[in-house]
Amino acid sequence: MQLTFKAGIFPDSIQQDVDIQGFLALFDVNMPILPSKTLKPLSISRGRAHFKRLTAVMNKIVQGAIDLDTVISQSRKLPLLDPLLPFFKSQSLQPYHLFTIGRFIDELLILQHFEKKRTRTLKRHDNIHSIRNIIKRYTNKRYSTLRLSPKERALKDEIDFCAKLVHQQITTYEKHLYSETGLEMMYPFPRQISPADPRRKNIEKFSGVSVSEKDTLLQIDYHLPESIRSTATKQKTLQANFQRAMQKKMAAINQALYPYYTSFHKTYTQRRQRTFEYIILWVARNKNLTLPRIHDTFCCKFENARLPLRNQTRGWKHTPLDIELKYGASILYGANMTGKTTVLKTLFVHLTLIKAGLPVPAKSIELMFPNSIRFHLPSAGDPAKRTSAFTDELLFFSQPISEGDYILVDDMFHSTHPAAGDKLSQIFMAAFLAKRIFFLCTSHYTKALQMKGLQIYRMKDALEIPHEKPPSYTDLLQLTPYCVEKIDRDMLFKMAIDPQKPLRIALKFPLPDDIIQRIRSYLKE
Amino acid sequence: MITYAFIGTDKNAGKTTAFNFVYQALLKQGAQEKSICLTATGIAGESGYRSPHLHKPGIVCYKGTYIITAAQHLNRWPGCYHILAELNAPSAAAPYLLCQMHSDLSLVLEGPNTKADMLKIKRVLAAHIPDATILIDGAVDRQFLAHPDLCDAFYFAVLLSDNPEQHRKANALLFPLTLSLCPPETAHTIFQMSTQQTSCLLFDENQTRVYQGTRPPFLDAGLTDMCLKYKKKECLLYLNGALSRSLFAFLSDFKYFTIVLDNFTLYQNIIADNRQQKFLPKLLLLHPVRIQRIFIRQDQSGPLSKKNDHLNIALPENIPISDIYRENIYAVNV
Repeated sequence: MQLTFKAGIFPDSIQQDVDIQGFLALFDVNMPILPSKTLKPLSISRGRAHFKRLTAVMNKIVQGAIDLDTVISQSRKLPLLDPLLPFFKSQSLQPYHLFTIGRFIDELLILQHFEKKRTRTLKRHDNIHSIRNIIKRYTNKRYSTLRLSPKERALKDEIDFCAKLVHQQITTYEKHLYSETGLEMMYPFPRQISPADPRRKNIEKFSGVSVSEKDTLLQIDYHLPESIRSTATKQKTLQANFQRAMQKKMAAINQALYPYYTSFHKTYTQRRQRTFEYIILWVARNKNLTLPRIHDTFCCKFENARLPLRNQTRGWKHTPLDIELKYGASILYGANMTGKTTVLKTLFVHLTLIKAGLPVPAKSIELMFPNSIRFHLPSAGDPAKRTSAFTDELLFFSQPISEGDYILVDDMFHSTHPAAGDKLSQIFMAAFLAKRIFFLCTSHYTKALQMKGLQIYRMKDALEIPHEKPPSYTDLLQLTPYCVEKIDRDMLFKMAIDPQKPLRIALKFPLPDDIIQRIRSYLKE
Repeated sequence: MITYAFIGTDKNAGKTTAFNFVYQALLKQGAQEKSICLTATGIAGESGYRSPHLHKPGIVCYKGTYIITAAQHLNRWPGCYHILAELNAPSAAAPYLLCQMHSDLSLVLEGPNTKADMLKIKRVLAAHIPDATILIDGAVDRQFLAHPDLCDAFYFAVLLSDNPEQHRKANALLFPLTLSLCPPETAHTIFQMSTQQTSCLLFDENQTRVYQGTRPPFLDAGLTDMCLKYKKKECLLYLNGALSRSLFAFLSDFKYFTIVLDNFTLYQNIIADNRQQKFLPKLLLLHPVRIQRIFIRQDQSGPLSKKNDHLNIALPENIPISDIYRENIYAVNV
């Protein structure tokens, strides 16, 4: 099953370092009935129902009521029926379609036996049995060939007899040709001989071939005797009669099956959905993924949420995320390079996967199913649309907001003058405080940070950088814990925010000497 | 399971005729219908098609023979076959069916057009009819059939004609059959160093690998850069991608190079245009060309000989050659 997201769900900026394709490849399980699926955001009601079903089945698997490996293995035997459904609907099923439908029903019944403890399968499937009975009535050898009536059988035997007769007559003819002319021919291939061939006279005398000149050679073609030609003609006439009889039979089969089309289509669609669910559970179990617990109330708690990164194998440090958000407005602050943007990306990726109905790489997730998920990363604007970074951000905030939305903004309003950006941040967050949404932004603006009613989160800092012997850039990365902690407003005032730290970090980079010198002078002052 | 494919130099080179001939000959030589499986790459046996001069032959599938064809070609004949398996090749528009015939019928055979699909089908066949002899009527330019994973041996259909274009195609197909195999130690090194994704390997004069590519060689800028760097050295270049027109032209004056083609199909038809151009590297093959027989169709009169001097076509030595349409000096023994 090849999974893809509907275009535009994951922005390019996310896909640069997050390996969405690699994550979706985990679900690449060979499953003929479901070769591919395009993931779309689920509505709240469908999303809730989806995860409720998955959790219920997972419980049965854990209890041993369903053997997931057996169910997956049996599901693989179900053929894809999508191409034949239009034929079913238009009453133009062909014999091979009967073979496919018959096989589907046989395998489905075995599968239903394996999953009989799953509540919803206790429903009766009369349509399946009726369809199978009809197909059985008209076919033989496990649906692989049409069953012939005695009259049709007699007709077919007559055709086969004619074919055999033609074959015998041609063999006799070829032997006769050889004895009369010395020419060894194999029907229907003509022969070319030299005009000086000593057999020429005998060949020309023989009435069973025609001789013509081709370039400088003689071409000998078959001129079959009347007896062979009449047998062949009879064979063709009988074949035409047989084809008409078979057409009538197929029309009768289609007529008998048609009343079951709608219910069969429903059964098939449900089975595909169920197969999708089994694959999700199978991959979740085998790849250590988690099904989210969906709540009706406003909550959002992530424990040990991992981000599928592209460069994980290169020794990149990735610390799983633990965070609990309350509805309303939240702000995340912290020094540069402490992982604020990664927190937002992790939340966005997990929420988007959940919104599409997938399990996620985390220890546990509890949340209210998202209504919509929006994520703004600082941009450079879009000259084609004549937008700047600032207007891009304003356009982002111009979209209507609904209950249950998750809105994530990186470096909120850092695209404009700091004083104005700080003020705009306060205005928007004040408006979001009372809304039943989850809003989380990262910011360096101190006034915005001190607003009343905000949920405040901080990225844990590296151990204080010593002034005398500062660590190298690589050591600094290793020392950074990349952890989020929630703090209250009182703590915020007690915690000193070191405004010089970014300057000391800047010293770790290969900046021009005069710039380094100026930073050092400033720090000394 | 033995697989024979029929490859032709051109349309109307006589592939399907050779295919029918070998099928009938196998039956006449005592093969059981139920041990033969017929299929095609692309479409074969369309009786409606007419070339300017020739009737395209149909394919009569005899009772008991297995066939693989697209389902729609069997719709007219319910009750005359039974289905063993439905083969849903991923890239196939219509399903292919593996059937056994209940009657003698003239049918259109239509099979997969890609190596991956054909391999998938062969796996299914191995499960159902492991002892069968499979005959594949190959369409023109489906030279992927030559891959050793797909076919055990080939029948070639060659159109010998005064027409310059047909003449060029025949020459292009026949030329790589004359190439020698690389020495066993070279083959051993190549097998050791390459993976399924390898499209080229370059070894320097010390047999040290200096480049490995996975892109089609003619698109691989890294390969051409390395070739230029080592141009004056005695290098070995292994290609598992087409020796295309551009690559042929690029490599033509690398006189110190030995080029080993993975199989003969990599010597593409189009480079026949460049045959006037001198090609200085030594050209060898990794996998041998396993040809059962060459069937020729002579569109001109004149005697058949191993050296058709008047056509300037070199027919390879040690390979049986037949003309189905003429009494000829070579006995036809399939």
